[in-house]
Amino acid sequence: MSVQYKAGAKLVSTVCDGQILVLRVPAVPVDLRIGGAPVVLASAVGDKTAIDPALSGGIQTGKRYTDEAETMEFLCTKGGAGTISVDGTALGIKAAKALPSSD
Amino acid sequence: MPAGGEKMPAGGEPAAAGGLDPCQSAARYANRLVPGAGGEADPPALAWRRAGLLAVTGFADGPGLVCPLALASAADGALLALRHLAPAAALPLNGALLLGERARLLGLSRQGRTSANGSCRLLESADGRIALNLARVDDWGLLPALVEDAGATDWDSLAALVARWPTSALLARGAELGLAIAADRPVAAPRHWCRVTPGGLVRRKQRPLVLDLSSLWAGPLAGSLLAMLGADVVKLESSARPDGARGGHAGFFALLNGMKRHDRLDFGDRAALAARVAEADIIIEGSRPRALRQLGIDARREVARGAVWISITGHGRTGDDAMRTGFGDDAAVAGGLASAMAAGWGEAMFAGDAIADPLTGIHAALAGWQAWTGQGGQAGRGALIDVSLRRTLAFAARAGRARDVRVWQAAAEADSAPLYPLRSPC
Repeated sequence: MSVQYKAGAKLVSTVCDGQILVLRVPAVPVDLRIGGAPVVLASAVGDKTAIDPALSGGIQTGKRYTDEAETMEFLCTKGGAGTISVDGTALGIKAAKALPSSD
Repeated sequence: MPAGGEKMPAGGEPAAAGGLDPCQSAARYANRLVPGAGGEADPPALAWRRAGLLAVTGFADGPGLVCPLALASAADGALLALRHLAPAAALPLNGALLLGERARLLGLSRQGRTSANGSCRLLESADGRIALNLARVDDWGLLPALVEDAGATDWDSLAALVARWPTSALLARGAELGLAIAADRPVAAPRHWCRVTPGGLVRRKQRPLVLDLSSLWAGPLAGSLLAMLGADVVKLESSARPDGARGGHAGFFALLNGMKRHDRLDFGDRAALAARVAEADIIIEGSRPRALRQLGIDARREVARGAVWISITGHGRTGDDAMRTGFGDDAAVAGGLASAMAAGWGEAMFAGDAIADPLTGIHAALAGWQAWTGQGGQAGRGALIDVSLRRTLAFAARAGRARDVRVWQAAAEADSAPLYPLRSPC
């Protein structure tokens, strides 16, 4: 189920507590899932379904997740048991933000 | 702007003092921090000028301005209080010079609604004004999510998009994104400048071992002051994410970190990190509470065993504030600085250079040393000291506020004394 997402969209998992914020997405619809099940808009939360054990690595609050080519990026605002996947590929944690040299 | 600020002394200031506050601003402030503390310091407007802060206050095409808040006196007063606790220590000449030394070393100049270091700006929201500090390159990637528009790619496009959102929505979303964002609004000076939660009793060593996990300015400055007070300070950096200030001015880095032992550790090695924390008598850190929890470090556990834990954050450790990021310029705005400038000069703008940072560094060192030495004798009680840039700036307004900032300005402009000598790293 591919959907065209928008920067700033808040999405929640239907299998775990996970919540993410869209930072950057390609201008084409993508099949975005957490724990193997499609995410839903935060305003449309329903009953939880079963997690895909193959996508149960979990996500951590405050971490940014991206694909290998860094064409998209999501911020985890609430950790959960499911792994984020896009079009069947699991996303990994982006390296922590480099500290500034001055503030 | 009488928003809960300290009342100025009754009666008109004597003409002999050039209409300035009496020279007692810093001494009175010191005595408020540590009863019995006091001493000599320059009046606030002159200290502001002699610290080199006119260069970084005002608009680029206008004169250098004084700040209507006596922040230079607050810095002086906090250092006087530190000196009162440790009369024999070789401390800096005064506190005010610490506020201006980075700008002087870097040759920064005033830019009005842009911070002196260039990373923070005042932006109009739909119903007010915010300060947004994009200190990290990666912050730019968060802007489309902040304003829900992929077109937010530079300051100009961002300014137009921010103007569509109310301040509250920007703050809530910005906090979620980990952006350093603050509302520009008047702030009542708080009664206390930090929150201290007492911990367990412990036998104090003669010379505390300080573990300095902090980076940038406020925390490292606090650590350097503790070193001057005689503490054995170890600056421990994450090997993956060392202090970003290493990429900045080397002389400034040396001023803040030169008198410490230096070490690196893979913070992913939880057991090793926990061991380093467990052996320290005083811990200084500048992370949001969540960050250390995720590394398995619990401040309360350390405090319970008698350690003094100095937590320096942008906005504090409690409630939603614990999730917020803050740097010196945006947190100063949150503490009422831009609003005070608007009240005095008719226009909101920045004042000084990330001024909440050095101000907080001095206050944090004072709080830490007070907690370390507080019980007297050989017994000491652990303490969790929650110091925030925002609260410290807001509290520092208690050092005084110009009734007529033009009088302070005239005094500063008439002053011909040399600037305070810059410190040289040891």
